[in-house]
Amino acid sequence: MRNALAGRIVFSFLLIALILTLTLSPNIPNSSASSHREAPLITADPLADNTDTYVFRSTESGRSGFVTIIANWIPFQEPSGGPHFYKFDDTVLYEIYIDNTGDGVEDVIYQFRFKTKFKNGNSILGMAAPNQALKGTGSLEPLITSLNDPDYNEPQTYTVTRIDPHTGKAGVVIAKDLLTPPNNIGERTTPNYETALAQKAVYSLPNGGKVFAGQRDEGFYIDVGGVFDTLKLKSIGAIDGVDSTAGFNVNTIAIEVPIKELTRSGAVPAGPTAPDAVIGVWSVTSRQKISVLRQSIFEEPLTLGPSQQVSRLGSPLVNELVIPLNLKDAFNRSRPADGSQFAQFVTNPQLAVLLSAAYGINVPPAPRNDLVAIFATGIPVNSVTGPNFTTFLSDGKPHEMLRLNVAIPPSASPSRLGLLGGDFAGFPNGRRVFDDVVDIALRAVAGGTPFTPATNISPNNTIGDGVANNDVPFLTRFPYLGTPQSGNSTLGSPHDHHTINALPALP
Amino acid sequence: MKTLKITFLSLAAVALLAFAFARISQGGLDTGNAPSPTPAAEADNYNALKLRAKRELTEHRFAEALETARKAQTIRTDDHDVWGQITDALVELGDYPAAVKAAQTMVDLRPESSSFARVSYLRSLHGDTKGAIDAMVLAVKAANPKDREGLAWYRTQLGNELLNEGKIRDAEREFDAALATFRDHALALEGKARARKAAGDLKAAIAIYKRQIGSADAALALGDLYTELGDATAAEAEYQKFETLERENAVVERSWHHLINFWLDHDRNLPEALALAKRDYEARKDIFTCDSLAWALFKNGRISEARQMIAEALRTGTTDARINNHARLINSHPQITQN
Repeated sequence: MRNALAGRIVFSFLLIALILTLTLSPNIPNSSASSHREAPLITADPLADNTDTYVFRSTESGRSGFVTIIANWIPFQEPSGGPHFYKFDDTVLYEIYIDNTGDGVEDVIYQFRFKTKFKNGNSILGMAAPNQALKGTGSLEPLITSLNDPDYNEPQTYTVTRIDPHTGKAGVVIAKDLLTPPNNIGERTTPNYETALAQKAVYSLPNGGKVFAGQRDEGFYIDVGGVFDTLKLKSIGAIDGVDSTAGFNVNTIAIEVPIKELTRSGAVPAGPTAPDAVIGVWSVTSRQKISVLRQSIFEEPLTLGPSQQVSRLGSPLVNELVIPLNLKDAFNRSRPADGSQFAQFVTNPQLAVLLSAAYGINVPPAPRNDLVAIFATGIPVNSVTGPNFTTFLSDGKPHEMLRLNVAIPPSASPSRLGLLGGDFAGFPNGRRVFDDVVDIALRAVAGGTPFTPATNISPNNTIGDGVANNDVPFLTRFPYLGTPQSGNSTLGSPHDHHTINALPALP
Repeated sequence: MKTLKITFLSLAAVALLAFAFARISQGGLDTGNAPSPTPAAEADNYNALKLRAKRELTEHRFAEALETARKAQTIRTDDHDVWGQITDALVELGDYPAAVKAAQTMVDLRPESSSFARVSYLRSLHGDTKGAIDAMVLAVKAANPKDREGLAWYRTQLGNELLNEGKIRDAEREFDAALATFRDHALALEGKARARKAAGDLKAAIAIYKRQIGSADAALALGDLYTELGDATAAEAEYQKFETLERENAVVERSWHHLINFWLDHDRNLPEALALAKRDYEARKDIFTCDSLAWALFKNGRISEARQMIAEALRTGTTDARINNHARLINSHPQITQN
């Protein structure tokens, strides 16, 4: 993100390099034409870049037969992001892939396509506009009181399609014309946000499941400053890190489906070690290619070609902490089936070397088969976790996916540390919204787990970023991520994210 | 028929600065990829080569930028960012067929705003204004909503293309949106000024240009506006400002292009204009440089050569009003028609 100084420098440069062409008369236009037109080469594409994927057995009361899958995009949303705020991209294909055979190839796909409507294109405002007040048929406050409110000026609708690639068919539309809620703009514009708008955007599906797409609070908590200040973590084991994502929102797609819709058998598995108990999940974003020049004058100007995958995300932090910088784009374009090319970064992770250098700790030597099990094949039944735990799903090759054993029920006493906290229902068995994936991943890479007993000692198994909870409470019901931060908060300083404190540490 | 064509300019500086900011959640610097890892030394060189190419583009050293970007590609071939640099360099050097191929590779690798924008410009250069608009609409839709400056740039370019199509109201909507996104965005202000002028509101256009103190292009535009209003004294004062500022710009831009065009349009310093136009042509052969040379040859009485050069300026099928006006005048000159 450019700061003010950078903006001024760039502006000055622009003035120096500026070129203008004018045609003032029909005879001899008297200005210059092109010099150098160079579009931005900055390639952040948050509308298409996945940030997090979650998958877990639903914990909402009465929903134990379902699995919830959540995928997020457009991170670090400043809540006061007007006038257009944050929407999904109408030209992007958002997908959730499920592999239930272990070959890294998707067996079930859920596709989401969005379309923005513009109710009043002449408004100077964007997502919310006082259309009724301007016509004299309504007031300014409260402005948007329902999803169909005329003052919800730029609603997005979306369609959900389920595809079984094995049938070779295009897929079945399981929901269409669903509405996303507006962003949480503020008390005047979107009052009673959670009950009047967000909850109303949770739709039931024909299969008994649910679906939601829209803005939520960013639930991924991490001290980014500490982690990326060359692992200058605020402390090892204590709780005084700063949640760098506090105060920000994110766009979420959440879908809840019956377990049997995801398994290879099409049934609910008999138990945790049944052959159909584990699934692998990742989210994918694609954009369509276009031809630079039209092939003929009869061709539509906007001929959209085949889709190009531009982003994918399964397990958290893989692309950020495991894949080297020069291969991140390749990883984003790749599929789990092609995981072998990245295996060396899991078996010999740089992060382990950095942790050792930063803290003088011993880490397990390569090859890190323990990490391969966590991230690339799943954890087989073993003596550490006992006979009723496995996340193994693989054809013998590494495929990076977020694996969930759908036959392991939700925990009665969940631990934010998931498996490392003795909670079989937590990461790396799926990922729940409150799982402390940063601490879990750091400890796993440092060798501070029961799978690497020689290094399962302090500080390897107490290391963490010092952030142990989100700043906004998670929900106990679908879609589980908290209410998005208000764009016009009356609580202290809404723009100083560092003054926002995390909630008390999760167990 | 009055038409307006804008072209523009470099945000390579933006890219350079952006490289200086570590991107957190998207994994740091976007340096591209390769099927297999490279040793650390090569990776460092790769990043350095990319940055050097960006700097060279910003400094308008297009041939050097192309060489540097191609050198980067000897290390990695599927970084769409580098394909964008190659596209930009080839466009400015005038090798359009190669630029189209490079842009296609870029958009195939990663279809998103920066690649859609290049598609748009290439379509515009090849006379497909409607296609250019559609591609820039895609770029706007795909733009990072948090990158206000970039978003303002895309909207401004969309406004420019709409203005080329004569869609003044739609263009002005985009310029206004750009200014709402990034206050006082220089290109958006100019676009707004041209749109106001196209709508016949010269007073508003003048007011906008007057805000752009120190801008050579604003001074030139004001000169033209005052000329249209019949105030020769005010016009000349602005033209003098323009010349002073543009002489400095020419050093930075390594091109006398705008000064050349001004002299030619006002029948000033014609021999010098021709000499400088020839020098520019030696460095690059894009259609606008060809047009300037054609116009310089014409104004200096070298009609046959002007005819050959204007044909080169039209080789992409551009609908650029200035180039086509020149072509009409050159090709209808009695010296040619007698032949």
